[in-house]
Amino acid sequence: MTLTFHALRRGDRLPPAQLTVGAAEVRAYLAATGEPAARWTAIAPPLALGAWAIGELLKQLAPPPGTLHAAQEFEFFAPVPIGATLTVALHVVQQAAHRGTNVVVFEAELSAGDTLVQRGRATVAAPLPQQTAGR
Amino acid sequence: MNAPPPVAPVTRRIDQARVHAYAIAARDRNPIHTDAAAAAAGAFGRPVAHGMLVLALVADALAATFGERWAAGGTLKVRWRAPAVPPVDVTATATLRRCEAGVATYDVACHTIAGEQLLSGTATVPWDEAAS
Repeated sequence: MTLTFHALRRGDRLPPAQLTVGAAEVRAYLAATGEPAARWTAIAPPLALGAWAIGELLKQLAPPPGTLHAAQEFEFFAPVPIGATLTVALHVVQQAAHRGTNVVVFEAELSAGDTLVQRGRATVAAPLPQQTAGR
Repeated sequence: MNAPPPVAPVTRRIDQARVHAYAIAARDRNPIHTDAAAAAAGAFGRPVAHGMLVLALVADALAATFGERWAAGGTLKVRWRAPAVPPVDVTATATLRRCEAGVATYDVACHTIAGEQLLSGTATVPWDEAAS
């Protein structure tokens, strides 16, 4: 399902997703970022989990032209073993349009069973359609 | 007194090959990062690195210092200030600001070699100053 960015409002919840933390995926992430692979052989790099949660968001929400990832927050609550399966819950915690820009703050909560292991907040800004058309 | 340790900076080249690899590995295939034609119509007019790829250098620096403590209780709060246009050499830094109530707070940033700031913010890590 693809949602429309500009139709989102505070409180909207996106469909939850499952995220399996595979060893090959961790290695590929570390190779891409350049972080030493030897550091993360048992538990997953927490930022990788955050990046994959954003990837889940992008699966569900095609960003409009001109979209910027303006800011990001993370809280890591517990190490996640490689091989774990997480549930990603995504929802909109803020939305405001100002001076032709629509700013949406998404929250992603990653859980292993009943245990919250990570919370992330992404601030995303996109030009409103009339601004896009004028450029 | 067990003061929080200094965090060594991390410098890494972000080139287009790394951006492509990151797009696949992080599952973020937004073409503004990888496709010149699509990027030309975007805000920066050319492909730029994922902000999360730049942020990964900060996480690398903190994980190198704190290991599992980082994964078990760290926090990050950053704002991107400018795009990283590949190829670019980026240095991530974390400077201790304070340690109180069992939490070490670092000012974090990423700069290009030319001195342009790409992101700034704070990171925290649990730290017991009383522990030996």
